[in-house]
Amino acid sequence: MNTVISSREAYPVRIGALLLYCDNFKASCSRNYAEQATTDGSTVFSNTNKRALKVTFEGRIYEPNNPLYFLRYADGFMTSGTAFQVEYRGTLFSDCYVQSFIAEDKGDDYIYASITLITSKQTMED
Amino acid sequence: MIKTVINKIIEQLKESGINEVYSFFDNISVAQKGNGIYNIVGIECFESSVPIYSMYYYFIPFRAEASISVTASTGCNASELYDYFDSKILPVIKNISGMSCIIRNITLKKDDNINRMVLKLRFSVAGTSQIERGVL
Repeated sequence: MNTVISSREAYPVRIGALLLYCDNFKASCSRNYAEQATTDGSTVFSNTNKRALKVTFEGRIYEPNNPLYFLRYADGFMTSGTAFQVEYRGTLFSDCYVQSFIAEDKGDDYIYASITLITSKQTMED
Repeated sequence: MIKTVINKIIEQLKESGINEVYSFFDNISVAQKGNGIYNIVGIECFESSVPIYSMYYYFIPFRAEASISVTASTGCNASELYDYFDSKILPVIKNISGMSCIIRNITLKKDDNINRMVLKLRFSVAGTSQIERGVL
């Protein structure tokens, strides 16, 4: 038996001028298949495309003097529709747009922040 | 961190002019504390959660159940003890009360070891400790 005591830290991600230390990360992607029925009742794929990759960065922010700065940055990105190049844990996400974000105050000293980026470009090693 | 929380509460009490305040961990004998009213600040349970990271600091959120035991002076009755508590201790706690600091319960018991009444206030406290990165 090999036991390792974990000492993982939150990894930073920089989105434009916003720096977020991520507690959680999620990426999802899928491929679309257009199905057509044949005359004998079976199925063929008439077209296919890769759907956009969605990446979600989640973290907590403790900033008592400026608690909602994340919200202002994220809302600014949404308004401007700016594309970003984002690096996270050695992987490069190009041409990312902010699709959604959540800033949540649950009555603690910190806020929960989540931002979802969407890109049609292939990920690369940084 | 536990001692820091205790010291913060002691600091608040002393700022309000209450001088007979001791930490639960200071090992001062009852004889040294004297025959007058004195207060002991303790922590009954302490819980910290996952650190929050930033560029230069770690922030460690915590919750604790703190207590202040008000020991009556020799020959003091319950009524005097309540008056002292009401006029001296309670305003300090009310001052720091909020969404995370609330009074849980108050009990009055006789401490048979020293033959004196003890009024114990339990309250919850929450906060965040800030630690420079590289120190943790």
